[in-house]
Amino acid sequence: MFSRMRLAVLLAFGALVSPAAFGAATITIVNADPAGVGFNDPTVVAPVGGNAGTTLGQQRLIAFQAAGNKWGATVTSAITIRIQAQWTALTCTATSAVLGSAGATEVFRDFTGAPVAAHWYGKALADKLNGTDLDPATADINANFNVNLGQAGCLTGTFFYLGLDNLHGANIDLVTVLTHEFAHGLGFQTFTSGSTGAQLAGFPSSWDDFLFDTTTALTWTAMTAAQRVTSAINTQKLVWTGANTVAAVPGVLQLGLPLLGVSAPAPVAGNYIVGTAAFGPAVSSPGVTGEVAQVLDTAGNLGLACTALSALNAASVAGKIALVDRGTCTFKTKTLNAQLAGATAVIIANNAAGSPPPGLGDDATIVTPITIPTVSITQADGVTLKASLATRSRMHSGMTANVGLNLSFRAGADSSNRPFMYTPNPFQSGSSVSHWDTSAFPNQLMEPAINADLTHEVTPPNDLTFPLLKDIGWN
Amino acid sequence: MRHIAARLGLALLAALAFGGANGQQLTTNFDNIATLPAAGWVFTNNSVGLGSANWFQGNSAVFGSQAGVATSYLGGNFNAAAFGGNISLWALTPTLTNLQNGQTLTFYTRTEPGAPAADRLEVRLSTNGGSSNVGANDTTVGDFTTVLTTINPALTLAGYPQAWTLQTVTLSGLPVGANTGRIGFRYFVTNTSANADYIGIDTVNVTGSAIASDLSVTKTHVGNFSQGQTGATYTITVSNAAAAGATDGSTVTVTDTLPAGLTATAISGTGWTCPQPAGPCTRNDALAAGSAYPPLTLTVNVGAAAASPQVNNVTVSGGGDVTPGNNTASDSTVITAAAPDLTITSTHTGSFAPGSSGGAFLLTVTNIGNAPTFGTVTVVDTLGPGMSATAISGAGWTCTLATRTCTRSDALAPSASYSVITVTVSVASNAPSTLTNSATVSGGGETNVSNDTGNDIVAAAALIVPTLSETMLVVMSMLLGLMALVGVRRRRN
Repeated sequence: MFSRMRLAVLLAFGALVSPAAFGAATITIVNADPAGVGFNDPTVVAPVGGNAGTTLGQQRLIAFQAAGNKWGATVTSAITIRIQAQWTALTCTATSAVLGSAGATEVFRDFTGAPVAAHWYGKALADKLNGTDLDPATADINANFNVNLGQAGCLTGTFFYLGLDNLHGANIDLVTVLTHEFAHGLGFQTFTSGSTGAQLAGFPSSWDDFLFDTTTALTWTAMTAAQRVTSAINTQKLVWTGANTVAAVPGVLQLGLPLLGVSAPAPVAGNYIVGTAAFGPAVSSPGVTGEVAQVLDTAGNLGLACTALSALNAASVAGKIALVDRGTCTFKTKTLNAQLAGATAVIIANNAAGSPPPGLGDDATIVTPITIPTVSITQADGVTLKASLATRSRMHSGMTANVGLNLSFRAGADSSNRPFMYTPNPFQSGSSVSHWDTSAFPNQLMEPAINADLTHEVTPPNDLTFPLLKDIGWN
Repeated sequence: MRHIAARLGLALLAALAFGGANGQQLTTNFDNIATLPAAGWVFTNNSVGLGSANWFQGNSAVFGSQAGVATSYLGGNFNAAAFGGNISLWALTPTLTNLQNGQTLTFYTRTEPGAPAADRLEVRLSTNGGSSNVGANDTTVGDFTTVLTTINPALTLAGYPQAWTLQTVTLSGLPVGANTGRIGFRYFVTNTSANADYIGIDTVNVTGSAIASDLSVTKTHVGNFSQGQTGATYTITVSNAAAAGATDGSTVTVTDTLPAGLTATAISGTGWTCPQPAGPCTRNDALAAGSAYPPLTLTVNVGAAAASPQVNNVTVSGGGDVTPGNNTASDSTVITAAAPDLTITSTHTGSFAPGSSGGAFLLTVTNIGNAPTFGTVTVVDTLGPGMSATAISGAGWTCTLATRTCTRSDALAPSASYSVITVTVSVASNAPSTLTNSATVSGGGETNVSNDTGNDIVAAAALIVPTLSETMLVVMSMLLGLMALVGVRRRRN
């Protein structure tokens, strides 16, 4: 006899819509919206991007079908996969929003056909592996989408694009969001808590055997709860070891990971995680190598570089990699001032705790071309490097660094082609661990944020989502 | 300065101050500045707007050391103060106990080529002993009020040497003689938003014609000691010559070597540490020129068969003394042989009135020598005019009244007395007013015969015989007898 846990209270079934029956699996969308809302919104709209629906509700449903069909053509199951979906108000502000959320409705373990005993499997995968619907009364996946997106106060002005052709422009491609969320429902998630380390009802998820922490050299299955809590915020140190995914990485992820590589002095030598800039030249290989010089221009021993550098600071940074502090002005302002003083690259130390270090946004008001690369590092790494720099002179520090692409790594994976999981510090509930790290490039469907350049593909050479699902039992 | 460390054998020792005629008081090479505080160096950062760096081991990426491995120098930089602060960063040498005019301080210092900010170094002196007081902030100097030299005093760009440069300072203006204090290196730069780069200091030496201490020792005693004597004492005194330097704080040791005939029972003196009973005794406090430590008292017992004279030696060492010619003293003590030495005393009791017969002389023989008597001891009592003996006796004595002679042959221990001899006398009616008894002792093996006679003089009143009735005469004679007694007692008192 198998064990089952229900993960969410199911709402009443709405009307069944037409099944998407082609491909290796049948995926149906269960409309759980009340009348006049979401899928039942009667607002008349014009066709868009191949979506022929005539009401907002119809177009939404057609987009859902398109995403379902993508997965139906990809995964194989004899059991119909039923996705219960509804449009509801989700967390948002004027500049950010939760687009949607999805997951398995129930998990099962120790059922006939389970690949590994005493591990949880999401319902859709458990049904497929077992060959029967283990709970016909319950949908497999529950999904919620933000009904207010684009309205005032909810990522104001940025709407879901309902076309099927990915020509979303400045809006957010709904089919992509759906494809992402459905992947969670199919199994791209752990049921073990990353914030407490607790396993669901004392059993690991099928995922946890493939989550490997390179610091402790343990899988999540082998860890204590406390170790999992630490691992969940161990940025770029938690990797996926599934063979299908690791084999696919060289064909998907670009060679070269942006890093700050410090080669001297020995006590601080090593690779430091960086955030990259949306301005100036992209971090490249072999990149910029040179001596690090710290700017000091503000009481409190800060180097903000928000104004033209003093002659003394200019003498320090000329021909060197300038280390400056985040704060007060835009990142691009700092880089421009360092560039004008002759710096060859800029490292911006974060002024707030946490990792990974932030990406550095552009400042369109600065039109002077930026010709030197800029990266950010965490506050903690900044403290480490500054401590090592304390015994420098104005002209020499003895700290040698490279701002560049490290060709020992692919973007988003370690040197063994094991992709990084998303493990920021502090822990981000709902996002941490159950996504790829944001350093993956080309951008991946299963990163925590939907990037504008995503395709609708879920398989190599574009994407690593399906290889991961194969690792846990799909085919 | 690596070669010096090697020569001394221990890097730590190389950083210690020491005195000596060769004048090498201090040599520091900064091979490992972490060892310097234990060697007496003091690092104090009085910068206002305290920064992230104190003095540090040299950073070879900026420049290498003047001597030794590349990092073997003392480094200081603008990070002593935070951005815009004022630097006052101190490195104080260990306490130097023998600082004198004419001595030389040498060291090397530099900044980096093309330094874009100005540096300044003050070298200051405190003669306030071991004080490390440099005040409380960037403008204070505490006890370091004497400026020995300043490098780049005007804080000008390019005013500080950009390659290792030897700096030589001759000490002057100090009080004559040895002074105790420290030399302070002060990295002193205002406003790090515009000034201060990075300096190195290497190979600090204090050398020159330092005057070493010159200790001497004396040993004295009073009189002769005798065989078998206990508790005899010697006095040992350690002095520092007036023209010398103070001792350097190293241990001063006094070692006394006794000959076979003397055995130490105790040795002590104020401020000294002495294992009992014979030392050697030590102390570490400095002794100024022309002064002496509190004396040591050495107590000895003289052997029963000790020969004469007994010669013993005492030696002083340490304290930075390098003139050993006067560091040993010999003391020769005459030891007298052991012998009995008899004395005799005579006292009296009873009535010595003319015509009376109750008086008696009491003779006491005492051995004041340092050996028991042996053989016959003879006492002869000689009565002066006006008296005649009626009896002579004493316990243990054999006495003959006719010759008023007593003898005995048992041994008398040193400091002991024989039993009293009582000589009972009659006083003649016409006796003189002064009656004299003389007793003489002889024999017993004594060799000192200068103290063998004891005399006893008794005054007696003249007798008055009035014509009175027999009864009155009797009464009168009783009264006079009483008065005579009273008179005798008066005179004895």
